[in-house]
Parts: sequence; C-alpha cells; structure tokens
Amino acid sequence: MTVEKLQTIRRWVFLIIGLTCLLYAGIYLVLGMSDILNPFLPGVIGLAGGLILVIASLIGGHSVAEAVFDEMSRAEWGRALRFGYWWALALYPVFGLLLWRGLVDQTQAFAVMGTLTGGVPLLYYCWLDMRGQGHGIVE
Amino acid sequence: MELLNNLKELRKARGLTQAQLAEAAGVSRKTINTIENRVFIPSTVLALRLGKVLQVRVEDVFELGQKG
Repeated sequence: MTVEKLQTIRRWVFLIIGLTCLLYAGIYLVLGMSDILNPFLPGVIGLAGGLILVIASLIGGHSVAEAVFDEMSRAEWGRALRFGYWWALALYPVFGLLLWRGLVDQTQAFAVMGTLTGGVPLLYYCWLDMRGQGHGIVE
Repeated sequence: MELLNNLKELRKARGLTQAQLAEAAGVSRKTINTIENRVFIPSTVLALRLGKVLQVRVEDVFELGQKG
C-alpha cells in the first residue's frame, strides 16, 4: 500500500458516502418517501467506509497512514468541516421556510437535513483534495 | 507579508523528486507540491523537518517577501 493508493481509497470512500447521502436526501426531498432507499443505507455505507479506511491504513502501516493524514490533509479536512458547519446552519432557515409553507413534513426535513449535513463536508473535502492534485508539475 | 520558498530549487539541486522528498519528510507528495506552489503554508515543525531533510537551515527554504 503506497501513500497515493491510500489517498485514492480515502477519496473514493468519501465520495461514495457523500454521494449516497446526497442521493438519499435528493430522493427523499423530491419524492417525499424513503421506500426506494433503505433509511439505514447512508449509515451503513458510512460505517463500511470507515472500516475500509481503517483496514487500508493498517495494511499501509504507520508511516504511510501518517503521510496520507498529514497536516495538509488535516487542514483541508478542517476547511471541509467549517464549510459543513455553515452549510448545516444554512439548512435550518431553508427547511424552516419549507416546513412553514407546508412543502415538506418534519420527518422529511429531518431525513434530508441529516444526510445533507453528513454528506456535504465529505464531498467538499473530495473537491479540495482533487483540486490540490493539479498544482504544478510532478518531477 | 507573504511567505516565499526555495523548496523546488533546493529539492532539484539535491536530485530529489517530490515523492522522494515527501517520503523523507513523512508527508504526501501533494503536500510538497502545494508548498512549492505556495498554496499551502507548512507548520513550523514541517518547515524544520524539510530543512533537516534538505540539510539546510529553515531560513534557506522559507523567507518573508513584501507583497505588492
């Protein structure tokens, strides 16, 4: 397991979890029901993703895991969490308005807000991570 | 004030690739890449570690420049 491989695994894990959350929220918001996707799916995918990352890090060893989760990575994760915090706060007035107007019910708002709050920081981190790969020439 | 660095020049002078320097410093290649491109400002600990790997003083790698 190389540093690049573990970075790629992390990116794909975050992307899959984030997109699952986004998909779940989108389906629930548009169709107003969760019958299409199992309500435990985002949680199960999240736990499975975490397990994959732990196993991959153990296979890679201490030095590889330390390089992958280095200070640059932690800084980007911090940025993603800050973005996620403001994103989560912004959902409250939006869904408050939707609830007030009767466009969504409470269960729907709870499910959509919860999955969006969990998924968006992961997707934002993926974007930061991929953006950083493009700088300069690798020599 | 902005932080300038000579990391790319020093690394090349020692015949190291970004990946080799990253491995020696215990960080990812992307971190070295973003430092060289002045996208990411490293911590004091990492700056000192890079100086140690390149066998130069940290002031030889990083310097303050006037912005504008």
